[in-house]
Amino acid sequence: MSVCRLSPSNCWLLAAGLFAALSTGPAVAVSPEDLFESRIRPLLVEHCFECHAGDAAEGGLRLDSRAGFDAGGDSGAVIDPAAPVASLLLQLVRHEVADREMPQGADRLSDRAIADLEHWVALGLPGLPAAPAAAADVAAETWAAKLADRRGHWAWQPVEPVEPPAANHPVWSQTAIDRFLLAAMQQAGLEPAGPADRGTLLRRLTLALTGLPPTPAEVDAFLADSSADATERLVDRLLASPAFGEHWAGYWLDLMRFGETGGYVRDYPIPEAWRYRDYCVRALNADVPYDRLVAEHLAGDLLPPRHNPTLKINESVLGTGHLRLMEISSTATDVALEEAQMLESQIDTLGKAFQGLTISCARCHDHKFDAISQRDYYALFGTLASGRQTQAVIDDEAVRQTGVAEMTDLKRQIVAALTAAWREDLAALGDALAAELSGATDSAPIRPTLRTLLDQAQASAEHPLHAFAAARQAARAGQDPGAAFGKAAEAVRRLAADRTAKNAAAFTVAADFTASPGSWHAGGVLPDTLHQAGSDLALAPAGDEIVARVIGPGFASDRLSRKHAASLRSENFPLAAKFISLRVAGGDAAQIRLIQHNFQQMENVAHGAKVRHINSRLPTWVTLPVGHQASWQGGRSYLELVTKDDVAHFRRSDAGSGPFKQAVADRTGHSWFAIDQVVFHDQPKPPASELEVSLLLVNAAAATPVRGRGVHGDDLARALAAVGIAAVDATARGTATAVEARLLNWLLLSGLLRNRQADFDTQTQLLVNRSRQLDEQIPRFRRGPAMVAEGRGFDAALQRRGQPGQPGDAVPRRYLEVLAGVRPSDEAALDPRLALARAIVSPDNPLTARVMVNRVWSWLFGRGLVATVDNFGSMGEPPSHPELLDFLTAEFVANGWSVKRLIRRIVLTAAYQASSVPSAAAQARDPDNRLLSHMPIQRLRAETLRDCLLAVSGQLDTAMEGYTGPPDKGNGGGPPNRRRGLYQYVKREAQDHMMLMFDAPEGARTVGLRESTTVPGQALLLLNNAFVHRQAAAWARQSLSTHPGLSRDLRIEQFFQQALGRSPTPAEADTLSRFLETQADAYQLDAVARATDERPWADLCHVLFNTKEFLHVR
Amino acid sequence: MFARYLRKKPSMAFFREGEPQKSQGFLQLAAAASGGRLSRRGLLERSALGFGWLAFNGLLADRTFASPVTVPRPTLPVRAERVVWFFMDGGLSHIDSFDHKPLLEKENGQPLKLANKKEDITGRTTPNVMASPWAFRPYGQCGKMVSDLFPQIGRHVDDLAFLHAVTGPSPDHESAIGFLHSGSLLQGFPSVGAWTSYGLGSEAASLPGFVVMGSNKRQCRTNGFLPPAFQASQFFKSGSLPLADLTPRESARLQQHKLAALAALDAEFLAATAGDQVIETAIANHEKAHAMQAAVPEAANLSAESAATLAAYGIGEDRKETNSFGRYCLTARRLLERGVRFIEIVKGGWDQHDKLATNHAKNARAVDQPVGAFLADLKARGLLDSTLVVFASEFGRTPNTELYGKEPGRDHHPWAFTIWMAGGGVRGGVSHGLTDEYGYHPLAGKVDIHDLHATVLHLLGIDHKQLTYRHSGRDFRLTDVHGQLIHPIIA
Repeated sequence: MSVCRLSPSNCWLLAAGLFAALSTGPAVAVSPEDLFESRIRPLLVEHCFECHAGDAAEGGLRLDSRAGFDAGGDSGAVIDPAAPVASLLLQLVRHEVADREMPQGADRLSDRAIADLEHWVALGLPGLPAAPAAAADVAAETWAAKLADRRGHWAWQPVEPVEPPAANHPVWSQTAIDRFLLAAMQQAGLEPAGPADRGTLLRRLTLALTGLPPTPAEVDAFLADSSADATERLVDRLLASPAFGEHWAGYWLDLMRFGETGGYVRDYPIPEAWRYRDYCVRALNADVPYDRLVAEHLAGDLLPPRHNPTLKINESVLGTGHLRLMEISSTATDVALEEAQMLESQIDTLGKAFQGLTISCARCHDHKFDAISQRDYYALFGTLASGRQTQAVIDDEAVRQTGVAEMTDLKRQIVAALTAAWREDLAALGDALAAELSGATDSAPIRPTLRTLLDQAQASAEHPLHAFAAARQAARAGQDPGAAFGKAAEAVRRLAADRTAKNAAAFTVAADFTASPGSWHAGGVLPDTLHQAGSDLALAPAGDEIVARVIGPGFASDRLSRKHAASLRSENFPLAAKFISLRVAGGDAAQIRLIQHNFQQMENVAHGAKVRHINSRLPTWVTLPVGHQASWQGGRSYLELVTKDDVAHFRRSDAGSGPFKQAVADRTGHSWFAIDQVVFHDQPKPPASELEVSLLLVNAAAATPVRGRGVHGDDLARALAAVGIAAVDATARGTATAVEARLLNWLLLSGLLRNRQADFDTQTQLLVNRSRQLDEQIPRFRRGPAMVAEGRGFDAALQRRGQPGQPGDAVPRRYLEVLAGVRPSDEAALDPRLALARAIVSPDNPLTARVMVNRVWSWLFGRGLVATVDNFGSMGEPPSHPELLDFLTAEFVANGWSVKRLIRRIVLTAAYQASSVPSAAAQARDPDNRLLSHMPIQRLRAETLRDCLLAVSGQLDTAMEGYTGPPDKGNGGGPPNRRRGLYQYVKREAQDHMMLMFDAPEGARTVGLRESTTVPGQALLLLNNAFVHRQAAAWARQSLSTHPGLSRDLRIEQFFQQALGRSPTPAEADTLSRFLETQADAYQLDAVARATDERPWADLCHVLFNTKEFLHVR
Repeated sequence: MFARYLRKKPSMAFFREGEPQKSQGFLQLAAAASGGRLSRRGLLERSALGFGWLAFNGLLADRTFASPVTVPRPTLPVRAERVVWFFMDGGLSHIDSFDHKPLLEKENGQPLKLANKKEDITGRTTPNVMASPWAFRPYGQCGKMVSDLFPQIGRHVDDLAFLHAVTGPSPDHESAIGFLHSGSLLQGFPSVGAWTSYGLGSEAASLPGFVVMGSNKRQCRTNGFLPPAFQASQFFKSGSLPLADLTPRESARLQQHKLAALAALDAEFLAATAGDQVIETAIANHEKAHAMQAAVPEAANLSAESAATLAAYGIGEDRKETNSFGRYCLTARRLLERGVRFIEIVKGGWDQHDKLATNHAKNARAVDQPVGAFLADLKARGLLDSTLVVFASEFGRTPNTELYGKEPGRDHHPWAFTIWMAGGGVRGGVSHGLTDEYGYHPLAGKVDIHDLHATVLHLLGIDHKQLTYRHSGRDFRLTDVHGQLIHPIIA
């Protein structure tokens, strides 16, 4: 510490005094022999070995043996035998050396531990093994012992089939569930409550299964139905209602910390997150087996597709969308740290939601309580971080193939017509060039164009016609064109050779796709067509020109249509160069992205260099200057090329302003790219052209036969035409080389080859128009946020203390050791993420089904059989009815993991249908109702409250699914969204006030069971919020206009029925009747107005909305 | 356990020791159940705040007690009863404000002579030192050097304790802001204000216990995994209304009629549920809301303040630079007086990668006078002794120049920066911690945000290791497994 008036040197003195005072500790009360085993060894293992053991010890210091202590570390001896208490080791653990406090990044050791250490050092390190091998073993043994001990916890045990107990009760012996519950109750000397009345039961079931209140007609029908199976049929009707999936998806989205934006200050949209939401609705309505649903969440991209014949999509891949829902900082500069946080969210969600485990607690160290090691955590880290975050195309194969066959056929015919014409053009070009080279100056067809080109070529050594221009100049001057050509050609060759040598020295070819796709991975609509070793031809989708370009060997997404969205990803590589250049063509906001540590949200200025839009018709070098920051170097990186809508995260420039705003805003689906080479380099400029086209031409011309004393102009011209015609022939066959493609593109752009529609016959024009019509009919492909497996992936290094900057050994990808062992066996050939999915949904996994059964129970009863629904670990609560939990779990799996059958089973019990009024005995002996002797009263969920307000007032828009957009903007400024709460856009930083107020989670972390709080803001909202007032007014207006003649009492009855599903008691009717009078008086209404004025009735509706009965389910 | 309805004897549990017991009507009673509701069981399960709390749990048997918000039993001596947390969002430069470094002037334009300089964050910094655009001068008895950015705050240095060697883990705004507030780089963790409300509850019967002004950033207000009752209420989020849905859409008389009818219907329902506690609490909640409709506008109404006070805080339509921050500060004082537990006041816009001289000056003009007036006002009213004031930014700024725009700026600097504290339990006129001559690295007295949090809780009478909340089977703390008290600044 220092006081202001002291100089810095005085501060030091003061500080030193303070430190000295700290170093005295209590006496140690064990014998020297026991000291090491009982105090020191555990201390070393827990606090020191993570960094200071084994061959890769930090700072060269090993504390796992006598030899290590004696040798010291990089900064010298750590033990001073002459003055043990002043040893550096002890200074560091006493925090006496600023910035070198040990253990690093953790709490100071307890005074007692420090005293033990001091004592032990003073005694001369008794008990420490001499040989250095022991330490790692000690650490491993420690974990093995912990694991063996911890795996005895109940949740890891297999699900045991249980026989329900016998019961003798008129109502509670009908179902197995009731018998389990009754037995426990009777053991506690309790009797169950009687059944709820039928009106209450109808409201309870309807709200629980659909999240909507029963309509008065449904109430009438159910009360009138006295058949024995009336309740069963009601349950079946509700389970079959589309509203079921909408309500239950809400629970699921809480688990998946659903949100539609990335959070933090910029809060950018996660593109099309709503598709994941709708996927959940459909999956629940279709009762997709739960094991399949979970497998889709983890590896839906790797499973056989689950076709949705109505939407014509593959549903499976959408399941992986939850891996994209974490929040992402858009201003992060430390991307390794950001990735660590992203993975924490993914692993935390996976662990809690599917397994009821707090796996993410093992990020920095082995789990403090459960059988989960830090290695387990990083085995999962590598498994999940190996995938690519993307917008996956979800359309069925049939949709993807729209127009493909016919367009391919049309293209073949168009290419035939074009190449035929081009052969003629080249022959004519040969003639014209021959004339030029003979010195002629007339202006026959194409001669003016050619002459301009030759004029340009004369000045530029890089021009493909440079040598030809030299020949022409010689001819014009009456000199030997052949000699001039030869001389110029030699200069071209020298220049090219020089360029080649320089390029070879300055550039490392990271990828060359002209022969093969290498290890890069194609995705998108037609991934198999993306790469060709041969050539192709891209037709222009519009405009006067027929051909956009000749495509050389390599990747191209626009072979048939620019709508064929695509992606291309490299393997991971450690970034080691300052610059990366890619030879690409592309347009319509296609992007090159350098992704480091899976960081996609490259908004910060620090990442600007990592993203480039591609905007070039012909291949050209695009350079990413990526090396200005040292921390980028060595980082795990991959390159991706993506068409516009396949960018996994938007940047401000994409979403807001900038040159590509229009391209992004237009939703035509056009966007394309092509690439053939990638190089790494340390100087800013990309490779210089090696003059391949020039060389092709001069070498061909030089090879023409020599007649007499030399080469004539027409020989050169004929040679050029022959090279061109060979390139055209190769193009017609699809075998043109990269250079030939470049030659033809140059000829096309120079206007030497015909390309305007008007230059072709009607037949060809018709073919072109037909092809363009088909192109227009190709849909804009649908995408969802997803993770896809591409490439080999990687094993992640363990991060010591959870710090990305402190890597340890790489941990092979696998699932938790306690459940799946450490060595993948027959699953070794699978993608590790698929193996993970299998391990989680395996019938041998005791957690997956148990956790889900418990969740369904908790969503119905408001409390789980295991109260800590997201934690089945040793810090969670043990089950209140373990046999019942296992019975239901076994049955759930036996019933094909059907969630609907499970729900049906539970709600058709006496327990679920019991009254909510407890007996006096139950109130006294089981106040928390853990034995479920009566039904707990539950408050409506936020969404359900909103839905009830809208449904009761007749304002609910029941449209299902689809994009809803941000509040007040998604509808283009139209009327406010009156759709169900589930469909409210979840903007993380600006969530709906009503949702938050009534305990909807923020979408930051998994929430299995929401809190149900009571805060004044809720009452203020119901009293004063405009939305609530609007619904009350609309409800009253609707009643008065639909039934103008209704008596006051009947209208009160009707409102009551609509809101609460029952008739008012006489006292309640009287209260409301008098209330109407009081309000009418206050509004000073005369007799006529009292019958027609909406206001008192709207007030009455508002009162009903505020009743506690409206807000709760009995 | 049948609950009695409507009439009930008040329990001493609602009052702080030594406070005279007031007469309790239904409204006050309901209001005392302020804020949120957790079941008794839930509270027992989750708040593990040591013996004091356990002893108090015996009082929970009284059914009107429905909220952890009123748990008023610190286990340590109470040095401060409430907190005002000024947050300079974006990165206030420590070396241009409170950490005077004469060497910067001497070596202006020369490369930093630092062996262990960290890597720059944005890639736009130069290696060259930039002198502070502001002169520093000594203030107070202790002679603390403060720059000309903060002359009014400077007048109070004898009451302030400066922490000069604060270090943070992240160079990025968002995670650093999260860390400053929650002690975690991850989202979903409660802010210090939420923890404080959870730990101490509110003394304000009809006001929120935790208020944020000047920002809607989630990191500032979030309750994280704590129940939503502990989320900050955002005052002045939009327009002049302090809180959402506060103003009735009808006359008081019409609303009274509604509430009367509602009470009658709810009473019937409560009876039908045999006095269910959930329903009973919800009924009491409506009463509290009703009381808040009047109490919140009264607390936020500055027209009751004298012209001199308004002028001192820099409030006035003609005082554009200070008007809004001055209003926040004065409102804060009024809220403190009415028992609000934790108030955060945010001034954004400190992220000067360029135009440091222009924009730091502008920001400081908005803040300096109101904060100075606020400190003076608290002191004059005898409130400073029981109020803890914290003035923090998520990080400082580099001593070397960043060249981004035309005018120079400074980059993010989390490795050493300054936070000051004042008020209840804080030693005045003290500077703890020392940075090197560039203000780059800590030399001594290094503290981190966990230490700050531990100290704040300590001064409020809470042992930071005992303030826990059970969430997904683990006891979470504001300080995680860290936190050392900063003894040298504790009076």
